[in-house]
Formats: sequence, C-alpha cells, structure tokens
Amino acid sequence: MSIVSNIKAVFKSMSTLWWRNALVYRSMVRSSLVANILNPLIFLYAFGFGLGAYVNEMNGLAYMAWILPGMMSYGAMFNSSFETTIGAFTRFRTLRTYDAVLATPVKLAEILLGEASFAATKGLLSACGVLLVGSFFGGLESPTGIFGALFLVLCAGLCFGAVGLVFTAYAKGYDFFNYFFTLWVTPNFLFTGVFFSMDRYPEWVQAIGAVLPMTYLVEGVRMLTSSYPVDGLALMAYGGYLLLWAGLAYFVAYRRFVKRMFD
Amino acid sequence: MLSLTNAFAVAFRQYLVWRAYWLNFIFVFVADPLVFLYALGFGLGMAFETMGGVPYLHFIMPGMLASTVMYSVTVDTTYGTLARFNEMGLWHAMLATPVRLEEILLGEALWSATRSTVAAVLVLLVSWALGAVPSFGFALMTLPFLWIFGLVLAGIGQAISSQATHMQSFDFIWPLYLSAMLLFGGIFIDRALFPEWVQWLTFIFPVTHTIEIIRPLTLGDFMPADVLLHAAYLLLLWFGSYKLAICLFKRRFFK
Repeated sequence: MSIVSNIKAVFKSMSTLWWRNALVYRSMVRSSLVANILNPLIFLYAFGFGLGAYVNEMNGLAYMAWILPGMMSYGAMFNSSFETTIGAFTRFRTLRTYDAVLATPVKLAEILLGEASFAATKGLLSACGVLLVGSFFGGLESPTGIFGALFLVLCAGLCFGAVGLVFTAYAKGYDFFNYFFTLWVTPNFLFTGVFFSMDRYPEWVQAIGAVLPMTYLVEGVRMLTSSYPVDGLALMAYGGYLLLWAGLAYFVAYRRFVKRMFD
Repeated sequence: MLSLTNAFAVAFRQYLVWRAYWLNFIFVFVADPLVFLYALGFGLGMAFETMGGVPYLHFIMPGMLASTVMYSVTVDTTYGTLARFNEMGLWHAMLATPVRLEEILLGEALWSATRSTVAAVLVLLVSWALGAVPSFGFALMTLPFLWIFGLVLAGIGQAISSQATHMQSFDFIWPLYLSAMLLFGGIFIDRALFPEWVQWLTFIFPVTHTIEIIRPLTLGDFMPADVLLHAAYLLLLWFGSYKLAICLFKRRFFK
C-alpha cells in the first residue's frame, strides 16, 4: 500500500515539475519551435533532395526514406540533450530553480525525473514536426508504424535527457558542455547510421556505434517508418536498451547531484 | 578618427581572455570539424566516389576549414558579444576610456577572425597529415581568405547581436543562418545538386564565395580572376556589415 502511494507521490511531483517547465516553454515557444524543428527540417531537405538526387538509394531504400528516420532521431536527440544540459544548467545554477523547488515538498529525485520527462517531450515534439513535413516530402513509406516509432523516440528522449543530466551534474560552467557536444552528441550524430549505413566504416568505428543508444533509435524508427520488415522482438530489445541507458544515466546523475548539493 | 591602436588594445584584451580557455576552444573548433571530416569523408565518401569531379574527402576538406571559421566567429560575436556588452557591462567600461564604439567592434572582430584562422590552420595541418589535402602549398594561400571570411561573419554577427535582448534571441540563427550556410553553401554538398533558384539564393551567403575561392586552392588550382571577384564581394560585405553594426549599436546605446 505504501509503495503505491509513494509512486503516486513521486509521479505527482514529477508531473508538477514537467508542467512548470512547460509553462516556461510556452513563453518562448515561437523562437524555440523555429530552432528546434526547422533545423532538422533544413537538414532533411538538403540531404534528402540535394544528396538524394546523387545517391538514389541506400541499402534498398530511397534516400529520402533512409534519411527521414535519421532526421527524426537527430531532432529528438538534439532537443532532449540540449534541454537537460544548457537548459537544466541554467535552472540549476543561474536561476537557482532547484534550490527554490527543494524548499517545497518536492525531492531532488523528482526534479530530475521531471527534467528528463520534459526533455523527452521536447524531443517528441521535434520528431513529430520532422515526421509531418518528411511525409509530405515522400519519406514515410509505412504510415502504420508511426506510433511505434514515436514511442521509441520517447524512450530515447528519456535516455538522452538522463545522459545530459549526468553532464550537468558535473558541469562547473557552460564551457563544459562543449565536451558534451563533441564527445557525445557528435558521435551519436555521425557514427550511428543517421546519414548512411554503418557497414562502410572500419570495425572499430562500428564497435563504438554499436554501444551508442542513437544506433538503436535510428534503426528502430527506420524499421517502422520504411518498407523494411518489422521485427517485434528486435524493437523491444532496442526500446529496452534505450531505457537501460536512461536508468543507468539517471542513477549516476542522481548520485552526483546529491553529493554536489547536500554534502 | 578611428584609432587602430585602440582597436588592437581591444583585440589584445580578447586574446588575454582566450588564453584562459584555449584548450576548450581548440577541442571544440578543431576536434569537431575533424570528426566530421573523418565521418563524412571516409563514410559517406564510399557511397559515391566523387563529388564535383573530385574524391569526396578532398571535396569536404575546404568545407571543414570554412565551417570551423563560421561557427567559431559566429558564436563569439553573437552569444559572446551579448554577454560582454549586456551581462558583464564590459563595453560600457571600455567606453569610459578613450576607446570608441567603432574601435571595440573592430577590435573584437579582428581577434575573432584571427583565433578562428588559428583553428583553421590546425584543421588544415591534421587534414594534410591524413592525406586529405592534395596541394599543401596552395592550401596555405586559403588562410588570408579565411581570415577575411571571419571578418565578414564577425560584422554580421555583431549586427545581429545589436538587436538581441537575451540568449534566446539567437535561436533563429541556427536553422536560418548557420545550417542554411552549412548545407546550401557548398560545404558538404555540391551546390550544383540543388534546384537553380536555391543556387542563386546561396550567392548571398559569404560562405559560398569563400568556398569558391578556397576549394580550387586546396585542390591545387589557382584562378586569379575568379578569386579577385569573390574576394571583392567578401570585402564589400565586410565593409557593409561593419558599418551596419556601428550604426545599429549607436542607435541602441546613444539614442
């Protein structure tokens, strides 16, 4: 009984935090939508039509159908990552929002859950925008797969949000996030099959790609939105792997935040 | 009268600050383009052997030189400039000395272009070691043009930040300015692959002209007439954006 009510309480605090971020987001939604959705769309157009005219097909798919899941995943990863690094660090250090929230009954663990879930929401928004426009570009071959694809995007948003929190927990200033982008975001962007099939790389690069969560997001979304056959077992494994990353990263971030704020 | 000594003093101040975080700077603006060069040059390069008639690795190498200058200058003259004049109140402190607004803008632009050229030199050296530069002698000639390209971007960045009120004001430059130049200016993708109207539009971008100058140079071709024409456009754009930035900042501060 007490476990159930505990979970209820955590969920309530978490959704309050989520709602707080959503309210703030509302005031800058216009400039943010421009940046967060337009950016992957420009990549989609340039690579899909520009390079697509040149490449024709990639592993049996038209290049636009190949790149659409790539850009959905990229939009989701970038937005979730940005939200819990630059965004969360501003709330944590500059605005001192965390200190203010901790003066209420909300606990640190719930703040971090709220941050990760809001990051996942922003990633989902971006992926939806890309999906919508990309289907007009002709990149969506399997409309029935989109719900599964968006669910996978949500799992990935939790994962990238939680990894971002790890970096925020260690950050001393904004400069620190340069390492985050070069060491984490760029490899997840380039070595995971977003633009082209990974089998073109030497084995050691493929091995790095196989560890990165983005590989499984791109692969899963591509399986669902393109004409590739759907393998349910593989999809569950991909989702599980993304959530495993999310859980581990969340645990590390929480430990570090506790040490930093309460010791 | 514009005092160059004062402008250099401002540039030197920027250099002194940079010395405190140079490692972070090198990490971002040298390591990142090199990862792109490797990932796309070797990875994508196998999907199609050549682009624009040359091996893809040789094709994107000059693109990486231009993009490292583009990002480093633009970040410095938008987010950096806003922080300096707004949050830190640095410009107001400088204006209380004999330094004038024109000299602040020129000094910051000079340093911004110079540090990005330093990053470009490092990218060039590593690319050369990786075998991505067919003609190293000619490739060295790209550096003055990259420096001028840096000045142009600094002027544009400063003009944008004269209108900014907080960091979110710069959200729009990522898709509409930086990504647009990155994708349509000929850095990764040959402009000839896009529809004609897109190709015409890209002639506004300074990056298009920079690429037109530096790509033949890194490949070992030197066409003086073309270089002069594109360089003239870059200089014109630099002068125009520098004057515009002065005018906009004067309106913001002194009216």
